[in-house]
Amino acid sequence: MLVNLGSGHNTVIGITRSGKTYAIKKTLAGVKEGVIFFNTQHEEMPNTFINCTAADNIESIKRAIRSGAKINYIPDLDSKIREKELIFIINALYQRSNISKIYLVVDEVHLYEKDALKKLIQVSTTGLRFGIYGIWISQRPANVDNTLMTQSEQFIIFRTNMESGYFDRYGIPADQIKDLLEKGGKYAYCIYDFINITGPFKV
Amino acid sequence: MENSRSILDEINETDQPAADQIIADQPIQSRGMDLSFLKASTGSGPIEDYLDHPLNFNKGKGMAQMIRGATGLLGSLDLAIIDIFVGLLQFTKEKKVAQGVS
Repeated sequence: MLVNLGSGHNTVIGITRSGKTYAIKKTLAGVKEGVIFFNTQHEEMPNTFINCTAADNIESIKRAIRSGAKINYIPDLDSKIREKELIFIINALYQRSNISKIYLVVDEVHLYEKDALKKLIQVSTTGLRFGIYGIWISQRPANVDNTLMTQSEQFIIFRTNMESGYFDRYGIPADQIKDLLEKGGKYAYCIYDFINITGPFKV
Repeated sequence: MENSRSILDEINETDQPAADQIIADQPIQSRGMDLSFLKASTGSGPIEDYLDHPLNFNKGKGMAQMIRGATGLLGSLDLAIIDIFVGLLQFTKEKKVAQGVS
């Protein structure tokens, strides 16, 4: 069962090897919209994704996304260059002439700071109007910017270390989620939309 | 003609400081004028030292303070421009006296 991505931005949290990135990759491989997966950690991606880097032309990438392609964007390992690439790509997405819905996925989103973080916040606050639906993935939710969290329509929660402090901050019922995830077993997840918890699910 | 440059080319081309950083790094300027003099320290010593300054024509404290400030900006004030300005004031004063204006 693929992850229900709702109708807004998503924040996906879970420790390493909790299945969060696999679940999102598999879900996005099956959507009809274009996807750009900003692959911070150079994860392996399904064959349906087209590998792109900074050596490629942005117009080609935009054309591909418009036709529903799934782009695996592999940024530079240098964090400063990587941040510039992210900013550039987001600017390009805002400048599309055809504002069709696309997914912008940023893996390990907590690693982005300063100007790159400002750009992500811009997406989280205005991106939907420009057809940009953010999916923020992190194994360190305590380090994810508050705006990115609060502008998400829902949290997709995999197994975490359950720091109750940040769960309480967002009103996430940590104990209930813990019980559901234990019931669901390995790679299970829940969805919390600030009102209800649904799950456990598995991809 | 479609842009055929790579993302890296475009990033490197536009890799300049943000506009607000450029403004923050520049010295204070306004319409080509150098306004750094606004940060100059005032002249040395107390105001009383300037009561008997040759340019303090009314021997007042107000004038003394202005002269101290001008010294900080311009140095010892033995400048031609100072002479011209003060001379003009003196000339105007003498003219009024000659015309019987009190």
